[in-house]
Amino acid sequence: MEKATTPQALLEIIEKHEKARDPKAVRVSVCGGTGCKASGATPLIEAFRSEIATRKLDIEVISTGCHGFCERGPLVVLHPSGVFYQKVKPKDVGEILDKTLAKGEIIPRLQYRDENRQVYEKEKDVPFYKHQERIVFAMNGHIDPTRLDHYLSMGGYRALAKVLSTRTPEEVIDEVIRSGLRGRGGAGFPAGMKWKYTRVATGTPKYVICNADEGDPGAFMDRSILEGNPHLVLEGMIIGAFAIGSGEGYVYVRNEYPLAIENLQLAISQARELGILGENILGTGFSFDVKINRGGGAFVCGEATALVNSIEGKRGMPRTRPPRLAEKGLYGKPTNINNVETWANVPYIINRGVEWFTSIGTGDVSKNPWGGSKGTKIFSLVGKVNNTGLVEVPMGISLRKIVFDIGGGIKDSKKGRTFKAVQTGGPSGGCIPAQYLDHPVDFDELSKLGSMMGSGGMIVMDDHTCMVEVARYFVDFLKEESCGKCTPCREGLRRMSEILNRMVRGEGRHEDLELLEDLGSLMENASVCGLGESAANPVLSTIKYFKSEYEHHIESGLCDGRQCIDLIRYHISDACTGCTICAKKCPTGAITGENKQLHKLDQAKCVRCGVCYDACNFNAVSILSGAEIREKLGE
Amino acid sequence: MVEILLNGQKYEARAGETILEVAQRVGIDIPTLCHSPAVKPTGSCRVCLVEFSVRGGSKKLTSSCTYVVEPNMSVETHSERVLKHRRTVLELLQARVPDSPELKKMAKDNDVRLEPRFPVMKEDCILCGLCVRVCDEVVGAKAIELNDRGTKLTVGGPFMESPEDCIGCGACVYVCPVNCIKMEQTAETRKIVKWDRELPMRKCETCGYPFMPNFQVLRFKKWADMSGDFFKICPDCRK
Repeated sequence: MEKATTPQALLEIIEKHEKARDPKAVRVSVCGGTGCKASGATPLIEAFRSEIATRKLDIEVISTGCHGFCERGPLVVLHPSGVFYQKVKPKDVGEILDKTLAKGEIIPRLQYRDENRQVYEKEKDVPFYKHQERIVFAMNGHIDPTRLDHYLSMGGYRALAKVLSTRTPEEVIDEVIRSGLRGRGGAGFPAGMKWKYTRVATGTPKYVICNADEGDPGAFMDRSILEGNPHLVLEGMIIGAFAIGSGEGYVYVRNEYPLAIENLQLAISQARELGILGENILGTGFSFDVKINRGGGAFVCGEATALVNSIEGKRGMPRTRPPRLAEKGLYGKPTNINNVETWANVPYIINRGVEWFTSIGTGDVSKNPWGGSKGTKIFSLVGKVNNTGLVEVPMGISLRKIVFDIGGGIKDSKKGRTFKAVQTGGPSGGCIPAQYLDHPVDFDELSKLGSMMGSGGMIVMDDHTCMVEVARYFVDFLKEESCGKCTPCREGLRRMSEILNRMVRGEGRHEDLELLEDLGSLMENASVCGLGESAANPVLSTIKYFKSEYEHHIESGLCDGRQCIDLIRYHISDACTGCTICAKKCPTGAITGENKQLHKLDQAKCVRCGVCYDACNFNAVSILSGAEIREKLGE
Repeated sequence: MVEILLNGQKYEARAGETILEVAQRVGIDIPTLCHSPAVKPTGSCRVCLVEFSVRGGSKKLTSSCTYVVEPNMSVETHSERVLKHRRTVLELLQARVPDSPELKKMAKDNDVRLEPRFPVMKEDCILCGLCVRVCDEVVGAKAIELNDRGTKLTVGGPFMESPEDCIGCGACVYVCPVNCIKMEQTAETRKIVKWDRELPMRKCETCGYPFMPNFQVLRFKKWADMSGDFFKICPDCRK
């Protein structure tokens, strides 16, 4: 890659690559994200390349970043037609080349079918993608993250050239403030305001940090951005550093993200070669470079002050605020930290303008950057939905649209499963019940419901989910991941865990609810950092919306979700046809019975794994809880 | 100078002073555990909670030991909200460390219920980390650390073994707010019981008093670049 020495020269390089990209060229995009690699994308990509080479075809195979629809991987999209194939194996390669690429014939076996057996031919028509608005993820399915020329051919680094040739730092900050861009990492603090505070703070050097310490169970949007489009994040950071007046940047990324680190490392060296990282960038006198700092995997290190301590080589324990990091951050110097997704939005705001960005989302940010939520948000949609994966949607979209239109509704709804709640915001988010399904999703609305945006975790729960167990699960996660520094968080979580673990064993007491609320209130009000302040959310929100489930556990040992194994019994009813499948599948030999005879279940041997329940085709296995156990089993 | 309202009364505070420092100066009693003027505050125990607002904005709780006064600030040190949460903090600490006379007295002074609502543990340490900070910031030995995290947090030497860098100075013994770090001394050795660190003592060449662990002398000589003779006699005989 030639080196650009002026912004104009950079623009010329970008234009050259843009022109070189033929939109009509035949290309095979294979998802090479971690998810698809796990399901076999690497040999698939090799198979495509070797087969195309053998046949001497003029087809480019691109190993792209994550497409989001991981559960259907490995994913293949054929360009320019947009034909979408899922669960593709190396043995399918020849057929794809022979039929689809040569003759335009579709291979039905590789097509995506939704839960109603409806078939979709093109990627853009698949409901999972159709209802999304992909901005940050727009390039993910099209470019090879290891190729700088790919990024440039999509107009990459245009925003940087624009900023360095036509903007003052103050103008950039003003643009970001007016765009209403709020931090995607959790708290939703207006990014431009943070930049401004860091710029005006006294002290040098100033640092910019990209927070890629993604620790929420099941969340992987930051990983996918870094893996799939590292230059986008770098471009945002360079623009931010220019605006803030920083010469040194860090990306704090989990060591468990090897591919993200590899791609980012490569992107950094490519950016240095291009002359947009290092001394005197594009001859403007502005110098900036980026280092990667690998985190050890502590959840709390995603908290900005703990992250700063960790980079300094200290224990990842949060500091009390004030002082803000903008005043005294890394090594006591003014520091600006934004999340991966926040940085990735910046080039788009510069390129397409404030008006475009503010046209997406909710509220009015023209006078007050807290006045709304603008742009898109990436959610990691998991749990009991048909389509799980990463979804990017405009702020203000309803939960119903995400869960039912994009997510394809509740898994096993034909077997009677129904929506119960959705947990947003990661382990310290809250559970939102069905009556708020039409509620808009943005920073402020989720807070009003007792949950939060967090970094964008979204776990869908069905009627077979026990909300007390959900609270117990997250409290147990957090009690391990709290840093343990302050009394409310450490001791509060310890006691909440004790109470909830008792409750799911059917040993709850009447005073427990009040105790949980007291502890929750203490943690919310008196903890040192955001982790402790929000750690009680899963408990408080489930008490708020599902209080009866807690009461049932305490009063009658009834688990509404039929999940707490100490409170349930499996039971075979008269509907049993004696097909013997449950007896064959039972791992402990608890079920006995002759062919075509009513089967019996020995409670003493039953470990309540639920295999019989799932296996039975006649709805003869039921899960009893509470009074039903006394009535039917006489226990 | 910064003018602040403390429990409704106007006070002049020096720029850079914390809420706790102002309160202590004017005679308002705020309980503390992890605080010592000798080291930087960390706000970990949360006993010194106060409620504050700036320019009539929303009221928040904060640790008074860490919060530096701001202009137009109004602080309540004993509001209902403060007392409620301070009591719960003390109740949690009491349930963890049931047999500390210091903690019992503080709980009594703050009207904390006598019987904690939680199963009582048999710990002696409240994990405030003051010993760690004093060992680091004042002594410079950096011998002890907080280990692990969350509810498994403990304090001690690296990897929870006896700390090899401990000089047996006893600063941790002196600052511990719940007196859980004990020191045992004989004519021959000194032992910091909690860290399981036993060190032979140096005897004064003049009076014979075992005034300092040998290891401490070695470290002091290294840190302060002093002559070997200086530590041959005890501070009393040196006078």
